[in-house]
Amino acid sequence: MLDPEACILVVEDDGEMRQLVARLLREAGFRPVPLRDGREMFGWLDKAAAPPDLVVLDVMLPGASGFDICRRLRARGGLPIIMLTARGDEMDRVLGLEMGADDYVAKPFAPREFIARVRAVLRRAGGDPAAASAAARRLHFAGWVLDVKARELLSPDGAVVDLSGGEFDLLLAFLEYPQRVLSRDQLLEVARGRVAIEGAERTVDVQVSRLRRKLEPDESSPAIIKTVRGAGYIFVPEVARG
Amino acid sequence: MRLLRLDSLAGRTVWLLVGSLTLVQAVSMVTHERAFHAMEEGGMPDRLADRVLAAAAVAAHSLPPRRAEAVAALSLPRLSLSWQAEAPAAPVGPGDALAGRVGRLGSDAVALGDPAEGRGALPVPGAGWVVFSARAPGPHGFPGDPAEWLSLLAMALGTFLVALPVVAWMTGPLQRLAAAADRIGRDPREIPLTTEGPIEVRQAARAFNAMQARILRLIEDRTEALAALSHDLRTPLARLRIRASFLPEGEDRARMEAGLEELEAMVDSVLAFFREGRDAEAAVPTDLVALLQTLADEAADAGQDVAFDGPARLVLPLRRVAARRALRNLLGNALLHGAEPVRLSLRREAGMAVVEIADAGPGIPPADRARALQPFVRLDGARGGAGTGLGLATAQRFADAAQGTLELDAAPGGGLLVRLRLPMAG
Repeated sequence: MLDPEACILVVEDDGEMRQLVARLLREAGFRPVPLRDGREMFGWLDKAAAPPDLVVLDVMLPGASGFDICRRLRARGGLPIIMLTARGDEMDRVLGLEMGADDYVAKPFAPREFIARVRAVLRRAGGDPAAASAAARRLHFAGWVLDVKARELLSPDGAVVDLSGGEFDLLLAFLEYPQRVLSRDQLLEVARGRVAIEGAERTVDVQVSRLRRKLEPDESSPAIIKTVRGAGYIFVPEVARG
Repeated sequence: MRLLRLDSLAGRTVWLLVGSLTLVQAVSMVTHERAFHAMEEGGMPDRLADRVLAAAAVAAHSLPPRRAEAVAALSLPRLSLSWQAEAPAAPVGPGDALAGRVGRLGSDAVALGDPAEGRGALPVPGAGWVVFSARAPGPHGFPGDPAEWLSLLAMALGTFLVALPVVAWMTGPLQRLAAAADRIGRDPREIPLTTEGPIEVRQAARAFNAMQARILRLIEDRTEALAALSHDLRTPLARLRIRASFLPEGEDRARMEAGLEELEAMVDSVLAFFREGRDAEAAVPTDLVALLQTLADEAADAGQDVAFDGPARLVLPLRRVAARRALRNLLGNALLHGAEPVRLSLRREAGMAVVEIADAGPGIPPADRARALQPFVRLDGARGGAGTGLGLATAQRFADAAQGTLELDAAPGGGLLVRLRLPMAG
């Protein structure tokens, strides 16, 4: 389902960095096109026979900034975009997601994580039904709201509830298949499609109990996740998108 | 209350006003009283002499049985009069000896006993003797009239009540100046003082504002330079990070990647320190329990003995990214410089959320605690401790920006206990 030769534009002004990212992508089996800035990129897009599968876009670019380019790309159609920014600039991250970027990677990044994120965005864009549902910006259930792109969970009374990477992936897996019994293996498989759970050798049960503690803090809280003895778990509430 | 403390400017001014006005009033009261007294005392002997002579005349004209009564009735507070039929038996001196006390009574008058006692007798022709005793004028000390003292007290109280608000108004700007000076360096924002109050205070406020602007610009410049340097370090770091991944798997590569990660963490901590309180992140209602739980779980997953204990939920307004960074720093410190087990706890106390992070390490002696909160100070630096020495300083800045506090204490087991208090209402 994943095009092994996916074409990825790398728009980055720093020459060495551009070559390194391109090489990283090539070694991971993609077909990178290194480009210096927005002008070069739009020039390439105008001449290209087929649109690329993904654009990796640096925020700090000479001339038009990454945000501007991101907005103009969005106006042209549904090209998936990953933004590269300096780490720790929370405002950049929020702004980037607002502008319609699909993901955000902070420099310096761990190469393995970067490749995993590229794969995840491609999978979502490639029409994987499960992954595509995660492309919805917001998911609602039982008064809760999960902002998928900002990776932010809001409780019914509007408080932000912090989730670990694993908990977020697990919750997303539940939200993709609500009101269905999911075995531990199925949950692991769906959640593994995402990035954060990678390498985390912890049982699904531990993650579920942690997630449950946050979703059902009190005895009086309504049940969100129920254990189905001998089968797995079921996510009880209905899920709405948008 | 500040206005009543003797060691405060306001207190001193109030007491000075009340004290000096009361003193002036009391002195003038006494002086007035003395002058009045002297005036009255001047004519006193002649008036008493008239009285004694009048008593003698009354005795002469009264019927014998009523003489004693009639004479005694003429007594004054300072002059007792009595009548007797026989001549006095006590030693007799010339009546002139008493002139200072009762004026002149004529040559017939005699003094009885010591003239200083003021006793004497005047013969009444054919009608016995009038015996008199004139007391010396009383010492004219403090006025004895309670009404006067009451008026003095009322004046003092009135001065006090008027002085309080006036002095408070006059010294208020000074207090604001002190409060603003205290915030410099803690609150990165500029807090201009309003220039009001007396001229001197206005001048001080203007000078303070100018100084504040200079200091902030200085800090700003230095911060910008350091932040820019740290920021620029990221580009070569990012390249190295990717380049390292092209090396063959092995110990060299693993070590290089670990070293790069450490460098990144240091650059991050420097940037976090300088940006704390400066970024535009807004405080949003956040479940602090979930935040702490996640941190504890992550550490536990990494094989560290970290556990969290607290209520099921505690929502308060927080700058979430900054809060997570500060708490992660504190937990990281406890694991790096302290020892496991590390315990996180959360409770509510008097409108504050109180987070405590206790480790089982050697702790920090009370004398070193203030220094430990300073940026770039590593207490175990001499022993090759890791880190930039910014963890506690960044957390302190976060606490300040959130109107909370950060304090270091001793954990029950002797390790370090870091206590972060955050207001429940932003």
